Amino acid sequence: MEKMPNVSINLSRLLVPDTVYFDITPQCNLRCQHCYSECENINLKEKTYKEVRNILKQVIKAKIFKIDLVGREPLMREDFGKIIRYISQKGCLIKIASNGTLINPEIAKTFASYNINSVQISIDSVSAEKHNMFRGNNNAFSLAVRGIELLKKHGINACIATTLTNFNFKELKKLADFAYKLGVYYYRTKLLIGNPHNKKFQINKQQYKYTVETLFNLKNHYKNMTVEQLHHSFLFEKNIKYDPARSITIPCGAGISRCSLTYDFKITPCIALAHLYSAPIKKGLVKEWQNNPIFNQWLKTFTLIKGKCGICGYKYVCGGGCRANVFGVTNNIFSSDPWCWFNPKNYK
Amino acid sequence: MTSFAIKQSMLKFNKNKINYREEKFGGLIINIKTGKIFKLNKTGYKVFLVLLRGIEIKKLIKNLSKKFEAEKKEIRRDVKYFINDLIKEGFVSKNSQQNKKK
Repeated sequence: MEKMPNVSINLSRLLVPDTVYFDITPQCNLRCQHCYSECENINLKEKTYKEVRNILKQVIKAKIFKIDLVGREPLMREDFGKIIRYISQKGCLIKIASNGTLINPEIAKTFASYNINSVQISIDSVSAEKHNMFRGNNNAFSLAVRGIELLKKHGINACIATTLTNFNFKELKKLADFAYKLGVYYYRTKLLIGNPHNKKFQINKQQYKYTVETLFNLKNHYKNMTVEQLHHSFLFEKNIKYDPARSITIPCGAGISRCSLTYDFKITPCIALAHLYSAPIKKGLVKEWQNNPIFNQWLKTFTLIKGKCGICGYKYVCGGGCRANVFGVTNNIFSSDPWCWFNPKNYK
Repeated sequence: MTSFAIKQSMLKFNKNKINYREEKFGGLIINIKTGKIFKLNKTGYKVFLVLLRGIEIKKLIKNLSKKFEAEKKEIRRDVKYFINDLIKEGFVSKNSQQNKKK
C-alpha cells in the first residue's frame, strides 16, 4: 500500500492582515431567504460610531491596507458617511458590499467624494421576480439596478455578485451579460453557505461543476469586465501540476492574509465560520491576530482534512475547497469537499 | 517594456496612492487606487524604501553591486526592471519633461 504523504500547510501568514472585512451593522432592510441571521440570535443593537472608530483606528495604525465594509446591510448605519470619511482620510482602500437598494443620488455622490475602490451589489437573477422572491422584497431588483446605475453615473466601480443557488446556476451567462451591459467592472458568484434554513436553495455536485465550467468559459469573454473564477476552475486548466508532496494553501487567504470582524466585534478568519472560530477583541486587533489560538486551530483544520482532499495533489491549489461551504453541506469541517468531482490518483 | 535611462530626477513616487509595510519575508506595497498588493522580498523592499527616500540611483546601484558582489551592469538591469514594474503598476510616474529615450 502506498504511504499517505505528509500534509503540511504552507504558512506564509502575514504579521498583520492586508484586508479586514468589517461587519459594521447587524441591521438589514431586506429579508433574504438564505441569510444566516435567520438561524442565529442576532442582537440588532449596533455598536456606536465611537466604538467602530476605535476599531478602525487599530486597523489604520496596523497598516491594514483594505477595509471591506459589510454587514447585513452596511448602508443601514446612519453614520455610514462619517465612517467612510474617517477611513478615507487615513488612506485606506475601501470596498463596500451592499444589496444596493439604499443607494440614492446623495449616497452615490458621497461615495464619489471619498476613496471608495468598489461597491459590490447583489443580483441573483435577471428575472426581477426571482431576485425579489429570494431577497424578500418586491422592489429589491429595481432598486439594486438603480443603485448600480447611480454608481456608474458617479464614476464608482461597481461589481455584481450572485449568490449561487439551484434557481440561478443556469442563468450565469445571462447574468454576466446583464452585468456587462450595466457597465460593471467585475462579476462574481458567491457560494451559498449552507444552513438548515436555506437548504432548499442549495446546488448539488453536478450543478456546481456546471457552474464552474460556465464561469471558466466566460473567463476572457468580456472586454473590461472580469469574471471571477470559482475554486475548482483550475481543473479545466491543462498546465496545473498534480503534486502530492506539496503543502496545502488557503487560496481565499482566510486567516493567512485576511480576517473578518463581526458586528459584535469578534475576530474570525472567516465570517461564515465565525460560529466555530471567533474570539472577542480583548487585547487589540493585531495582538488577537498574532496570538489568539483560534487562528492556530483554524490553520490546523487544513492539516486534518480527511478523505480524498487530504491526499490530493491539488490541495496546494484549492486547499480542499471552501471550508465554510464544506461545513455548510456536510456539517463537518474536516470533510473532503463534497462538490469536487476530481478523484486523486491512488484514491479508492 | 519601456526602456529609459534611469535618473532619479525622472521618477516621481505617487505617494498619495501608496501604502506599504514590513513583513517577515520583506514587505508589502499597495496601490490604494487599484487595490493591487505586491509582495517584495527583503532586497526588493529595501530597494523600494531607498527609492522612496530619494537616493541617487547611481549610488543605489553601487551599494547593491557591492553587497551582492555583482557586476554593476547586472544590478543596473535589475533595478531598471524593478522601476519599470513600479511605473507599470502606478506607484511611480515618469517625469515626462525629462524622460527622453536614449
